[in-house]
Amino acid sequence: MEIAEVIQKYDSIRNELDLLLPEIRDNVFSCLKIKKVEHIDHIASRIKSRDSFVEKSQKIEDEKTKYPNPFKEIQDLIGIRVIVYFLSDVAPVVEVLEKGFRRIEEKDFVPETPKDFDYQGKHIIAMIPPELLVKYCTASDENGIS
Amino acid sequence: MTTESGFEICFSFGAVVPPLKLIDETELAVETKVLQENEPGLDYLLKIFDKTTSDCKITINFIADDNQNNEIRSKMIGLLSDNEIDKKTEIGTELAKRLSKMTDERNKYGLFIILIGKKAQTYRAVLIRFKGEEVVYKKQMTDGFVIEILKEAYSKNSKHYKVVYFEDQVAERGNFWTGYVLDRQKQGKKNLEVSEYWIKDFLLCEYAMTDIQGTRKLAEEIKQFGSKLENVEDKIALVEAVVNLRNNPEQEFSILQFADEFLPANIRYQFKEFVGDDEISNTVFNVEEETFKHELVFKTIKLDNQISLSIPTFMGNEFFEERLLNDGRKEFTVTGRVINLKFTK
Repeated sequence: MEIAEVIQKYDSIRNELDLLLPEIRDNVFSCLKIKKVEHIDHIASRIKSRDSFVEKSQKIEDEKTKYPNPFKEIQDLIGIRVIVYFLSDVAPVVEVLEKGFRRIEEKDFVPETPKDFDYQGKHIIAMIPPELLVKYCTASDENGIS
Repeated sequence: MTTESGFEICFSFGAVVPPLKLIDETELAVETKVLQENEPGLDYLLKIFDKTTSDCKITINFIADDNQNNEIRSKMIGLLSDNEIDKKTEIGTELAKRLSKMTDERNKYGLFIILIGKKAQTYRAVLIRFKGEEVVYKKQMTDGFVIEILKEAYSKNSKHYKVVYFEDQVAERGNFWTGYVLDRQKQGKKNLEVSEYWIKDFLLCEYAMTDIQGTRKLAEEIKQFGSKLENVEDKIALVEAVVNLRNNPEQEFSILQFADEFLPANIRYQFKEFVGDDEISNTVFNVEEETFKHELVFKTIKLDNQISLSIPTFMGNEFFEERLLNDGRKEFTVTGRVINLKFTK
């Protein structure tokens, strides 16, 4: 997809993303609260910026465009980060989130060696709850949000 | 051939599917055929194809493996692509064998139909399983089989088939993950094995809403509906339904089925009208006990005179009045009709 088209489409759905973000964050918060998950430092959230999205949409892999339909294939337009104090707190959070959301994929990010002081986390790609899709993404088909 | 709604049918396939759940993989054998335009009963199948968008309201998603693939979805995309008819027949046969392998004796013989249609850039894949050879087809021993739809199957309330459809634009990586099902065989909330074998085991799908999402949505609808009720008896009926479900959680149904199962007639139809007959209110989930209790809270007040009050806070404070007395005590006034009176020994 051409850059100009990506920008135009991103701008046209930005309002929907702004409405979706707090609802999804609230869903995450609610799940963790109901299931009484402890040791959560805080919950952060973000919408992928336009520049970052455009850059990713143009990514080339094996001499081909990696995301020919970026609004369906780039899956981190909305991101929620749950930060916990201890490694042992990750598993209970994941367990609860996988009950609350339909998981598509998960991936572990770990430092190369245990001694390295580096980012460590578990990424889960999940579907937007259907209720929210219906509520906010009335034009989701045309916009290609999945 | 083209359906009334303008879909050109690119592939139509049928298979007689025996219940072979316990049979060894190598012994699986199904009788298949590509359906031709003159196939008896094909008109009826095309009508089902056209009606899927209005009939199938329960949303399901393919379950992705760690590489974001799903075996059945991949086969479906194989049927949508420009493959030769032989390749599509091979895929159809694989699907029929899989269904046979998932079908046990209780579900008996079935007729499995695949219809693939295209309209402009939109593809629709429809899979149907008819129950029982006595209802839908007659087997011919010499020349394959002939589809024969018997009169009973035409009835509006026919409970003889289940159907799923997937519809999307051209098959790209991000497409064809969501489908919609109708189960005319499903009878009552406890008949879970049917959906288990068709949706989860055969299609490798799951209901689109998680139990927590569905339970939260149900609770939200109950709260909003309750806030609009004016008649006290209607309010009491709604609270009773909530109490009933709190005492018997972990039941599988949609929001509309909740109304059928738990609400008395005086508010059932109002509630169904309030939530609407849409995709969300038809989607099935399992009521999640902790979430339900968290969302629909009862406040219990224990007084020093041994009296306890249990108040459904989700209905507002209209059920009782609270007044602070001069000596620091509180006076609660409750007005209502006695509907049950018991002495506990």
